[in-house]
Amino acid sequence: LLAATAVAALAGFPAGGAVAPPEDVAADQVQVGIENSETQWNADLAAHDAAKVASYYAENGWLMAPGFTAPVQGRTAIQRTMTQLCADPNFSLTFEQNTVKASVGGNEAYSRGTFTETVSGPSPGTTITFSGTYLRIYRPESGAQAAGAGVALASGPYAVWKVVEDISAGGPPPGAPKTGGGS
Amino acid sequence: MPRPPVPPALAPLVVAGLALGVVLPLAACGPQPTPANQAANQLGPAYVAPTARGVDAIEAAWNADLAARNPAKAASHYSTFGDLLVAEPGVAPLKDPAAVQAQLTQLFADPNFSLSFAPDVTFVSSGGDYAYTRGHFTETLSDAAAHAKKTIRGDYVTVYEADVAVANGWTAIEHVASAQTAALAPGS
Repeated sequence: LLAATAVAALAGFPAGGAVAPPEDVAADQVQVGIENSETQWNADLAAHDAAKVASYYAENGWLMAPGFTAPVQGRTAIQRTMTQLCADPNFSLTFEQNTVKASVGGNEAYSRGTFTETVSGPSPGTTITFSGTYLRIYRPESGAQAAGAGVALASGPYAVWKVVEDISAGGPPPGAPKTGGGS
Repeated sequence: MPRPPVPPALAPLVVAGLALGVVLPLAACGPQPTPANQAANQLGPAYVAPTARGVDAIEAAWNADLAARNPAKAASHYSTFGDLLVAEPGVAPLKDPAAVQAQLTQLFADPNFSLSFAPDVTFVSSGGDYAYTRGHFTETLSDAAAHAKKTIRGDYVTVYEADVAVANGWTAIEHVASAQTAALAPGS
């Protein structure tokens, strides 16, 4: 599709007809959308709303975090993992953006920042708090896949951007409870 | 250091670069220059359009630099424009290639150290200005406490920004790696 679009443009012809170019979404619009979305995401985490948190991820999004035994693959599995975490009364997770960048006229954006997480410790009445760095890749998603939360921008096929990759470094010390991964 | 301006010719070339696989065979059929190769000529013969192939080429070269235990070359794939962040398991985030090089120099002093990685996903934005890879890594190093080698396995995501000044057209601006807990056992 991209090659055909580019060839049409080089030849001086509009890339119309069956070949539709990617919708041009302004990069600054995407950046503001991500900033607002991640603010709401923090509120959803504070409310222990696992379903809402999972809905920020693309249907095939990946979540990779220290303490996980494997990457969590897919929105359904991410919701399952978040449900497990939110069942811990001591669980809290907050994050703060440092950087948001979006491709100009393109279909990729990312955010990077720091997080602080608290979970119950291995002994009753104890908690473990740790912090680190996260990196999220966003891409537009369309149709039924785009249901739920996300970075809502406008109408059209690229109206909602979701997280396709979410990875963090830092994390729990040795001996902290493990969190299940998988798909 | 301020980032140098993107040459005006880059914008159309970025899109055109995605089509080079189609354009170049056509160009070989006749002497007529295309806008793509005209722009590439203006940028010099070393210029390579930022494509997924370029990203994969960087990661292949990067692995070779690590295998050769060359910290300067391994660190050279990172951006020098002050927007870098490298976050690895067990290490405080690093913000410039010199810090990465120093970290690697320290790691290479360990005879048991090795690090290799491979991308599972390579994505280039349709705008051609950003790309990312997601992949897996295996790192082996000495565990002083256990008097043994330990192996860490995990995943990484690296974000690249188009950079006309470097071979393959990209430099890494963000890199975060996450170790899997089950892999942290010594000797695993």
